[in-house]
Amino acid sequence: MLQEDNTIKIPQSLYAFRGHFVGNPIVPGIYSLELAVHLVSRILKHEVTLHKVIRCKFMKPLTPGMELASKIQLLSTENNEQKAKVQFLIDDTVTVDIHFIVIGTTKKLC
Amino acid sequence: MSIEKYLPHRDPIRLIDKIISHDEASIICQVDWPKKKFFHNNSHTAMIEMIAQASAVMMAYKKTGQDGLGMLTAIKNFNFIATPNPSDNLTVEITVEGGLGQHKIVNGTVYQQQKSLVKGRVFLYLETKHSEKQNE
Repeated sequence: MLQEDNTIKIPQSLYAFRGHFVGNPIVPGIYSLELAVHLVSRILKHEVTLHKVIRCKFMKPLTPGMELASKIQLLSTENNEQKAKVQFLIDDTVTVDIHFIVIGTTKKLC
Repeated sequence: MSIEKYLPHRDPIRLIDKIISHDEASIICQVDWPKKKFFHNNSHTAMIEMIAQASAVMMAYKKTGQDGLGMLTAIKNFNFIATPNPSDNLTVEITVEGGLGQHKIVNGTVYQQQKSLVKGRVFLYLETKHSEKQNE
């Protein structure tokens, strides 16, 4: 789903669509959070864990075939906590807006 | 009675397995966590989904959710305290804090053996019944 250039292409055959929902496939909201955490991890070049969700807004359901751009901002860092803001956009319109905090691990991404 | 009567989520996404208790403004549900292997590597976000699903169960069970699909519109202030042990069940406690019309605000906590693992708030939008729309 997540491409090398940080864009997202939602596949027609996402495994989660089997149960979310039958006959009405919508990407579960938590997938957006997982993608956001992964994007931050990619920028920091080490694995991170979701520590706190400050706010996350879902403006539009994500459905099969959609293509999204991502906008990632690393905000303040305190101790081992990295605050970040990630937005997913379709045609410059924000569809998901996430403010969250991750904590770093020492594991480097390959 | 099957939980699926109150929840549109199906395997592999369905997390809530049964209702343990409920009252006017709250509900406690159980998640058979050892069987939810699909989520074990993403347990933090899975716990958010548990709170969202338990909220959906509550709305449907209380028939405040009409017969349409409820949508998760926002989540706020989720603090992760601990990661669940994969071998024990989880309980999800939901309390309705308020709402306006079709919008509901719900507070949730996930526990494992009385230990709180995460707390947070979800915002839901509940679709209106087709018949109600026609009467408007």
